[in-house]
Amino acid sequence: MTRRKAAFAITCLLLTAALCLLVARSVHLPGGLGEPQYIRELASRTGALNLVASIYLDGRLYDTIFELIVFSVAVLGVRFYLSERRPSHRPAPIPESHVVRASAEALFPFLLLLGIYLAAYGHLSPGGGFAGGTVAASGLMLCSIAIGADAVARRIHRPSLERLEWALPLTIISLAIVPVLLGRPPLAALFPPRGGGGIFSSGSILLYNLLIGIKVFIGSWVVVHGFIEHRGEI
Amino acid sequence: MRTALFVLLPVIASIALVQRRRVAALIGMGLLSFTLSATYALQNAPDVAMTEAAIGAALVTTIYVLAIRRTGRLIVVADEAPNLLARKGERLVGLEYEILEGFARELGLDLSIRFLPREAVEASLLAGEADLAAGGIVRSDDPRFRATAGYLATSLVRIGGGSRGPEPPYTGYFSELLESIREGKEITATLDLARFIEAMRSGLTGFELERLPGEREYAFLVSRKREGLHAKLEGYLRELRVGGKLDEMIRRNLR
Repeated sequence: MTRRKAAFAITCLLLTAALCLLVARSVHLPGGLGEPQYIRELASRTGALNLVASIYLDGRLYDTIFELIVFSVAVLGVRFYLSERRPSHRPAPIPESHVVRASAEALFPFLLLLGIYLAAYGHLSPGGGFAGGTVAASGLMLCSIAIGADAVARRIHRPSLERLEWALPLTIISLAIVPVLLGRPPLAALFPPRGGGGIFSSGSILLYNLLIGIKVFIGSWVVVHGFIEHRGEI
Repeated sequence: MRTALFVLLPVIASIALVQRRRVAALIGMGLLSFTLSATYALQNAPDVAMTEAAIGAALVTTIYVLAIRRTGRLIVVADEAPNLLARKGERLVGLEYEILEGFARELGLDLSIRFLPREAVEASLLAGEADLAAGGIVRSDDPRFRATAGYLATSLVRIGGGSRGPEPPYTGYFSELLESIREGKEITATLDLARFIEAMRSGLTGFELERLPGEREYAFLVSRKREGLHAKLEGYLRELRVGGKLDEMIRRNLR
């Protein structure tokens, strides 16, 4: 590396570090941001202990729906652009070491359970559908590394999964919008929050979290499966 | 603690950026995600921290690992060749090993060498299971492959078999041939210089030897389909030759 390049890299590094420090200081205003009235109202309305969940699955539910649509469009984009391609040959899977295979097989059930837990308890503790679905999908990817993505696809992939991947966001959108369009109160009113910190304490948030979790799990797999089917074993 | 993490973030990002090996860069990216996740957690945002850890550190990293597993390696098939590409305890040593390791590093790939019996090396390269074939291959005009320019002069020696035309080099692993020589079995084979010297050391005596005429050279073989790789390897070998590094490597390995 020439001296000029090194000087440039160090300057960039120092500037970024300074920027990060500035951000670190500025986000910690004395006394924080305060507690606006609507947060208190939201907390009492949803009964969720995790305020973040009550914001993104109740107060800002429509933002979340658009995020889901962005995710679905990304999955659709992968399917669409890969649909024309066919692998010229199917290369043999790369053999993985026994350590990786054994650890992946041992870890997968726990990761799946952790994913379900994170999605189901998203309104009570940190987590939620997005994090839960991703954790479970990571378990599946780990298995794909260990025993080959083709082998995993043979075991779990069904064409109906891809249809389900689209049916889930449509269900979430319908649950959120259709009652309002028909002049009725939204889903929150169908499952009134009970409060008290139990799993069914916060009405519809549990249902949304579970649906989002399943959608993210299936969506992540569909993307990887698309690559396997159209580009050959990866 | 928080300040330390904030300072660490750009440092880890830069370390990840300057890595030449893809796997190392990937580990750097995963580490960055973990640090970022810890930062979020310390900023009282456990939800974001968890999502960052799940997506950035776990999901994205595993998908990248899946993607670069095949492309991130330079797969070389070879039969062992003493002083060129050979095992020494747990390590691999030799002139070709040094060249291939440098070439893989230049491409940002991990070198993966598979030892195969002599006759399986070419078949494996033809089947597209490997990128390169190495291990004391004497340059020929085989139209199925693309040979690089020779990197070292050699010659062929025929062992046994009288004056009938050149025998096929040998079958199986070279180590098996050495074993037969040590056991005093009768053999007929055509060996290149590096293997011939090793065969002499193993007690090759009482055989009819004949040096085949003609100038020969060691070279690497690349599949016909991999023109880009062939050009890059030629370029790398030229660079080594011009810079005098190749002579230095030869002196170091073939004293």
